[in-house]
Amino acid sequence: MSEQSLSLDQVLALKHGSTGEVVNVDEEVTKLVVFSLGEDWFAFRGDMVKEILIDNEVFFLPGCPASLEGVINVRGDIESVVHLRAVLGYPLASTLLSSRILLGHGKSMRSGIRVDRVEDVLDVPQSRFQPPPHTIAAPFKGIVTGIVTGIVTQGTQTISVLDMDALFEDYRAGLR
Amino acid sequence: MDDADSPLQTLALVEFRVGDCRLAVEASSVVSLLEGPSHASHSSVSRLLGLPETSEVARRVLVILAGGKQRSVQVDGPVELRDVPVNSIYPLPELILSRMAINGARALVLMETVAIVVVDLSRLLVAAHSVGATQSGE
Repeated sequence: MSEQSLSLDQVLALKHGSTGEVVNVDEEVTKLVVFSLGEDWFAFRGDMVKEILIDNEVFFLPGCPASLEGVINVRGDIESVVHLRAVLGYPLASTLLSSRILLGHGKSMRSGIRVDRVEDVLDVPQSRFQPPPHTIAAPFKGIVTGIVTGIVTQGTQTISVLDMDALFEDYRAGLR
Repeated sequence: MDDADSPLQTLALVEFRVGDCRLAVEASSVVSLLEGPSHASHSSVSRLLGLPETSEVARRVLVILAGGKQRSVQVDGPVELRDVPVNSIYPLPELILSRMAINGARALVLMETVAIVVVDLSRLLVAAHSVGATQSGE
């Protein structure tokens, strides 16, 4: 027997790799909360998303831009809700049944974030993160510039990983 | 239980409207409520708050204590005195504070289905009159 023996779970994890890639089971993984806006997939780091809310009543507030949907009461705490579609420059659509509010906690700010659909929660090894492209395709230009920290490919989908702190800071400063 | 969390504790607020927006001011700053035609000497609450002017006809005039002086401000009705449980009053979340276009917004009251924005009209009136006094050379 070799000195560094694998557990059965580790062996099975290796065998289940559908693409046949060799996975370093000791490699650090990052949890991602993957969601979609229309056909496009995005993610926030899992440690920034405290909760996924399904059916909270949103209170409309006067004097707010269309990208600020209102506030929600989460067990006695009041949180703002931003419409990520509007923040990222997507056209606003009526709220879908699949829509969810991600309760995001940044370093200095927190808010609910409305997305069209939560697609998955993934544990992604560091080696699968690719840097954001230098040239961003036309539909995304100006939308996600500066807030994409990496790209992850999952099957046929490309997931843009967003920096929640940068998003909040930009939004607070009125840049989005 | 903390005093502020007690459901028995209330804060008196005077609720008013600007168009469809429901707003309120601390009752302790309101001297009186007047009814009658609008007058040029009354400040417009829409202008003070930075909201669009409304064509509402049910005008009321709140007389507010601002910087030791009584100042009148024209609001839309209905105007109601409410004793609001303290546990229904919340500070404004940071993103709301930074992006809300209502001047002087200080807090939120969440009722069953609506949110009421509590504003500080006294501070806004003091600021408006000090700017007016500077411009007129008072």
